[in-house]
Amino acid sequence: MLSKGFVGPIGDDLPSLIPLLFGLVIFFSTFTLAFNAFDARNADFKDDLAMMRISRTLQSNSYIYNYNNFHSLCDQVGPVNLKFIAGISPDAQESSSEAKIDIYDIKFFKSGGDFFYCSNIDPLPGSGDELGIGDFLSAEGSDGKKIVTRIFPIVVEDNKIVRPMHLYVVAWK
Amino acid sequence: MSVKIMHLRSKRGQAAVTDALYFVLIITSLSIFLFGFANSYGDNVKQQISAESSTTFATNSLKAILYSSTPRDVRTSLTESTAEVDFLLSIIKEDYYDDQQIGPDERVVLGKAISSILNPVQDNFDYAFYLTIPSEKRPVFMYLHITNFQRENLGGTLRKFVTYTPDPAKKHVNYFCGIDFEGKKADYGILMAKLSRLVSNVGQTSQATAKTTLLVDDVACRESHFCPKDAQVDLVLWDAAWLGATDDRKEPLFDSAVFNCIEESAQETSALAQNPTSST
Repeated sequence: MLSKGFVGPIGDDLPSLIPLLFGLVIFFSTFTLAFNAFDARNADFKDDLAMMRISRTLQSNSYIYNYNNFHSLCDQVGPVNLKFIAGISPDAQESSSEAKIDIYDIKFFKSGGDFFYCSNIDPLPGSGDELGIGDFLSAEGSDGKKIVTRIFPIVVEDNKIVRPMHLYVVAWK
Repeated sequence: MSVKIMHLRSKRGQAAVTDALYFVLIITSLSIFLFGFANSYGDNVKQQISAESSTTFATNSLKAILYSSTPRDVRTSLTESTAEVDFLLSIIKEDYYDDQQIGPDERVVLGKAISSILNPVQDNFDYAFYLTIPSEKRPVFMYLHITNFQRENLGGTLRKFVTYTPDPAKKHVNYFCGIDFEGKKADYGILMAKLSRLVSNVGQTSQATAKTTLLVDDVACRESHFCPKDAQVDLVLWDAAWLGATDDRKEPLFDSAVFNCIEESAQETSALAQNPTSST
């Protein structure tokens, strides 16, 4: 005959199963969260490294001596897992000290009919005579995208004048 | 006998609950550790990437300043086809050669070149560009870009609340420092010590350094009339910060009078007034 309150071997352990299951839920939730965080950070690092690779390749030694030099550097970038537009802007030789920069308004330097830009996408339709970052990526089109921008001072030799310029690299997924 | 077994059975149930509670305790500790680790994972790498980016920017800026051409006349720009253009460093060397000084016009030309190259970061960073002769501990040229913060004390009884906001009328001030003017001679020893104090106390900095050679007209020198002098060019960038005095820091990090500075705008105006038509 069983005593009062005894509900068998499993029934007796039933109260202990509640904290046990609770513990397992906590553990696996944290585990999943941690792995998702690792994955997200690793993806960010991959993007950062790709961005650094593009920037370093295009910067070279900070001295671009003509369009062909820039074009060959662009060819060296190779395939990357990001969409990017990189271009050289002449704003460093004409901007005032209080000028504001809007990346969508940045226009690329043109020499001998060639624009100094490098991208793995085509310009948006309706681009005019001047080509700039806004012709590849519009403010409306960049809604919800994580856009990373890097700017590097650089010099470009043009008509025997070494012009200070800025290399803009804009990347997104 | 059967009473004993009953007693043991009831104890076993309690032991299982205690075990489970220990299990939850261990799992919770592990989860907290895992959560903390996941949250801070990659922070160091992020900081390294950011630091690398800032250092590359500083290095590239210095290269661009030293390589670039610039118009010899302060009133013209490189985009003008009629502008007389020379390498920036040539202008500096040429001007330094005769009297070991950088003249007012050349200062303005160099200042304009520096500020236009560093224009993209001017709102976020303050910077100092200086050309020195290390053997003499003497600055030949010193240019500082400082955010013009205004300090506002919001008061409070238990705690003091202070805000720092850039002056909307003039967000930045550019200075030429270490200059002898209005009878005040710059003490280079003090100036370099003050600059070291400034750079050491502004927080994390991105610094780039380059070596160059200046020439001096000295007949006693082996290379008669073209005596080389080793010089060093430094560019230091830091997050824009309040450089004045605080409750904890009685002496300001930067004081334009102590650094013997002239505002770039004032220098430009005087350079144009002294030399209104002819080029430098």
